[in-house]
Amino acid sequence: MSEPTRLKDAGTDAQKALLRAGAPEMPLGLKESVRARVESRISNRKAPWVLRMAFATGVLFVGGGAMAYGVIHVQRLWRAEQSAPAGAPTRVTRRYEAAPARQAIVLPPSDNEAEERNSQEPPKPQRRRTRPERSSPPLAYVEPPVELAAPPAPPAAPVLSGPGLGLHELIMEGQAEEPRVVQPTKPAPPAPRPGRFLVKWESRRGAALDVLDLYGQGDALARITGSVNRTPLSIDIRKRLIVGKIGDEVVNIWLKGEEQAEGSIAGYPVFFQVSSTQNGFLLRGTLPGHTARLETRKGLLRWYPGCENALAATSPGVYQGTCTEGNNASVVLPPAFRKLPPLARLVMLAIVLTERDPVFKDDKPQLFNPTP
Amino acid sequence: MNVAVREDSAEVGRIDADWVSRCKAGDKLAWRQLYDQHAPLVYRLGRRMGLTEEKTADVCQEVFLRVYRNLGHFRGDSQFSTWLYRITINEVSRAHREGSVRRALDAMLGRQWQPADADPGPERRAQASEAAVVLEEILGRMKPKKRSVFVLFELEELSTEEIADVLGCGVETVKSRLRHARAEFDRLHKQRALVVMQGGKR
Repeated sequence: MSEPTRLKDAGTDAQKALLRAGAPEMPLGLKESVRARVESRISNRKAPWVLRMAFATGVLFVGGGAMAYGVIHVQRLWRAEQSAPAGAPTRVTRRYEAAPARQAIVLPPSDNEAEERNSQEPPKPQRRRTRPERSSPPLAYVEPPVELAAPPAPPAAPVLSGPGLGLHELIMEGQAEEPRVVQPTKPAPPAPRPGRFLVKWESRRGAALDVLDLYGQGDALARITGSVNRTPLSIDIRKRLIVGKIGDEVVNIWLKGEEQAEGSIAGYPVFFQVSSTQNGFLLRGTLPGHTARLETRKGLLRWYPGCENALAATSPGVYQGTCTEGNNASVVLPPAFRKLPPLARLVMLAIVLTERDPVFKDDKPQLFNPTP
Repeated sequence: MNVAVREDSAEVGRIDADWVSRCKAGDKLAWRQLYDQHAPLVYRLGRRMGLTEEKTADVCQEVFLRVYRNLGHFRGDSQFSTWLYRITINEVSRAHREGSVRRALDAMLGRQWQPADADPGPERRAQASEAAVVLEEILGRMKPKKRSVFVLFELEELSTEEIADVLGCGVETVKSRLRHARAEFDRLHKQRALVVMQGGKR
């Protein structure tokens, strides 16, 4: 098949006139501007995609490697810090500044400590790092912890005195800050002996409970076992929970913060609210069968129902006096109980001490055996 | 096409081949000569394919950028101008697609689309002859495939083999499209003449 003829040559006159019209011409300057744009794009040519991918991959690897190295390094530091024996030199630690004079209990060194100190190995030479000094003040390199293990004798703590009150009483009343005594970690301390929590009445129920100090064992604070008016009681006190049993009934109380607690005892909902008063604490709450009110104030202890007259503290943790009904009563709180947080301590006191008077004979539940 | 034109075409092809080989060797002067020689061709084709002046400048830029980047792949089996035509036709199609997408987007957003060269304006009318304006209008109403074949054959005066090479289709397909394109051109031309005679809008 031959090449077709063009309309320009073989078409009608009108078609010829149209097709022979002048072709569009490039405007002046457009050719140069387009050429300049093309040449600028040629000179700024992007790297081929292979190179770009290789660069991105390299950045990814380097970044990932740096991150992995950082994580491993931090983990190693953390493990070294965890596994270091007490008093061993740490690489970076907080600077121990001169502590301000404060009221604190300084326990005399025990025999074990003295032996340990005598048999302590000479400190290992400190590993110094050639890093420039940091500008942040709280962190610094410290000398081997010989000084840490045997700090200079602090100024003698002022002896607290009050009207028949010891320091524990003041702590309990909120007048004194609970001391934080830093004790060096000892390997396998001997199991502490439980303290006795005693309640004695002339004509009503009594209680004899063992309070085991569990501080430092997870979130456990204390374990209270024994019997109240011949009803067995076994309760664990944790940082946020009071759980256990009274007789066959389950106790489950959640400590919400430092002022409120709620939960259930024997399936009955209970609620407690602790308020801080001028010289102590005031607890109000509900228990199965009755509402409770318990107040500790400046060496005094009173609760309702049960003992509306306050018992006075005769020695740390020992309260004695005569209740409203004329019955003599005494309450002995062991140190392990006294060092519990106020909320848990007052809730336990309310559970053990307050009880609906047995003269009210109705069908309301009774927490402990009502018969004296 | 007479013998003199063929000899001219062969001579141009040889010169192009020489410049292309020098461009491949990194001769910037040869690249500029190649550009200066063929930029009007790209511009003319873009305009005849219905692009605006701005779009044509962009297409021109993209075409020569692709030429520069792919010059190493140009084997020389066909003429350089044929290869350039193919690249230009592809870029023009891409520009048309972009324009249609933009128009669709404008329609979705409720904006009124107005073609940039809907009315050439008095200046443009003064520059171009009346025949050129009429030709541009008729070409603007043709279907793209028919239009490309028509423009390449009737205006750019490529042979059917070259058009087949540019468009990547068979020679018979080119001839078929050309036949249909001519019929459509004739119909549109007559239609326009009728409208002008009746004194209506173009």
